[in-house]
Amino acid sequence: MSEATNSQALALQHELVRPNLPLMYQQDDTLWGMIKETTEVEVVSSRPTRVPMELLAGGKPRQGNPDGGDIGLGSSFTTDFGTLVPVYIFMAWQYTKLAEISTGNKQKAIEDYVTLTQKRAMQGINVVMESLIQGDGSNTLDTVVGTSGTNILTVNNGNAFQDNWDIDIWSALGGTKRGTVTIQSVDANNKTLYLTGPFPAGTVANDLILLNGSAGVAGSGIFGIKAYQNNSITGSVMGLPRASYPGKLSTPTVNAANAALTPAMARRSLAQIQIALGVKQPDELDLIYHMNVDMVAAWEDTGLNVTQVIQNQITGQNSVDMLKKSPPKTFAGRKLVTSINAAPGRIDGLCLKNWFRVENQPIDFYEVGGQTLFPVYGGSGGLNTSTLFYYWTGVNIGNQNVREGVYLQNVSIPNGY
Amino acid sequence: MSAIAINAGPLEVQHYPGANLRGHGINPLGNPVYRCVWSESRLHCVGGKWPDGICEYRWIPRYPGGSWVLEKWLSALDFAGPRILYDISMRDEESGLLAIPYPVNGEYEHCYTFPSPCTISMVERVIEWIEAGRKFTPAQLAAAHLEAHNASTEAWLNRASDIWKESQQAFGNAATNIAPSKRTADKVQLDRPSPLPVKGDGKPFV
Repeated sequence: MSEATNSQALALQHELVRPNLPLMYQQDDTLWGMIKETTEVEVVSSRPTRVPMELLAGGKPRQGNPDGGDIGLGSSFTTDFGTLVPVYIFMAWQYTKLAEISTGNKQKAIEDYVTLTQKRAMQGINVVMESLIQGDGSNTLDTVVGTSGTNILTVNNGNAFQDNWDIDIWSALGGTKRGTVTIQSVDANNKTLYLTGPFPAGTVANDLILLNGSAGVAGSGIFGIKAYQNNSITGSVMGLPRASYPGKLSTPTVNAANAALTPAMARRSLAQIQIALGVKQPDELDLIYHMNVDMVAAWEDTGLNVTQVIQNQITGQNSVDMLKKSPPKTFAGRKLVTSINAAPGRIDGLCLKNWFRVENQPIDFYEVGGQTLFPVYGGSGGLNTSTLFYYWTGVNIGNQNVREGVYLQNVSIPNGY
Repeated sequence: MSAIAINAGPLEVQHYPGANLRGHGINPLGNPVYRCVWSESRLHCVGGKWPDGICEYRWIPRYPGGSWVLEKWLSALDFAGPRILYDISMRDEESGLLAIPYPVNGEYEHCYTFPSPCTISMVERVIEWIEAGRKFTPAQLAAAHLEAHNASTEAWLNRASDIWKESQQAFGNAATNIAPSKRTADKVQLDRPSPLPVKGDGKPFV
């Protein structure tokens, strides 16, 4: 009789029960969480999604002579469409068999490493998406502010990264890829990335830091805030050139020119949307103000809001507990959303009802034939004693009307941020 | 342009009935520093080129919806900064008008939108909190923001952990006699390979 195979032992084996993971992502209060909660999702194939817009008015008014005069020819309005394709983001996780079995129960370890890895993985891809939706559509995470030693990069916002990420450094979009490096540790407070090895030769200030595997081309990644909230008259929106429709595909802005944030700037940002859309339209479109903690601090400096410290001191013994139910963070009377991934010195007024997702693949395990955990093969062709799994998603973000938004830029960052 | 734009001038602001907030400070013009007003009665003056093509200042509603709103008076300098810079940075290029006229007499700015209904004690409490908040240092505020962020992250992780655990069998993979379907390798009993033959009375031959 030959040896027993696995099929003969199947009846004895336990099966792992996979959790209902999609519930997880809606618990995050960052912008990605809000977009997932509040915006529409279109389930799409891998083919491009067309986002139609009526961009130019039509008709030709003129004075004419009804007494046999030539009153000329006419025209009509112009429509065009932007194009959105899902972008596929993977996040790979790997651990060894010994790490697994050495922590498999309470007698061996205080935490099950595999379980903990699954939890961290779910949070991890959430962070990736939050970083990407701050960007300009190229998967650019940040810019090199400076270099130090051989393996230290300073950036604008360290929270756009996480330890262990591989990152690509480019001279510019469409420029030279200088190389790929791995982050050893992020020092967010000091806006510093410590790398596991030397940064690529030629890396200088203003180089771009992209998600590993990105094409390094404008419009090839996840379209984020900076892709849509842009006052430029060049570039493109979902593939539509701004220059083809001047003024129609750019977002109003308030340039603080490195001055401190004042309530008047906030008022102006709101006024600009009201002028463009009508006085009530911004609120009907769920206007929120999105900013990093540096801008929250700048707004707190105006002395108008109930501060975070006071909020923390509220107890159930207070006669008024309304603040516990409804955090009082507002900006010009509108909801203020804080994200540590947001660009410093910038405040975005977003009309969330204009935003939507096209999704080919929701965030989930990468699965092949029901299998989500994969072995790794060693150099001999035999097994390596480690296990791989991936989270992945195929998604992109759309904005059906970029005129309906506003942003403040170049706001002075308070000391300590 | 929405039909509710008001071009003639500001309506009289509707104050919260019976609220005398002068005890929380009076500005140099003799008016209270804090005031509680009905949002729909509050307009602000905005200049620019409107969708109908006209460049002018118009009074338009300042807040969404209908609710009581606490406002605080700020001096022109606090609200808008130095005038010379304001005239440069706040001018609308298309119309040539200031987006918001320089508030020479200062301006009331939003502090808090009250849930309905609102009581005078709620108004007083929020003012106290705002004033108390002015005493904190930037470092304390930054630490508080970080603490709040960490608490939010921890809550997210705890929920993730709970959902994960909920999806697992009882007691993880440890052996148990509580879940009948739960079998671990050391608890599996090997049955006889086949039933023994029995006699007509059901008893085994052996």
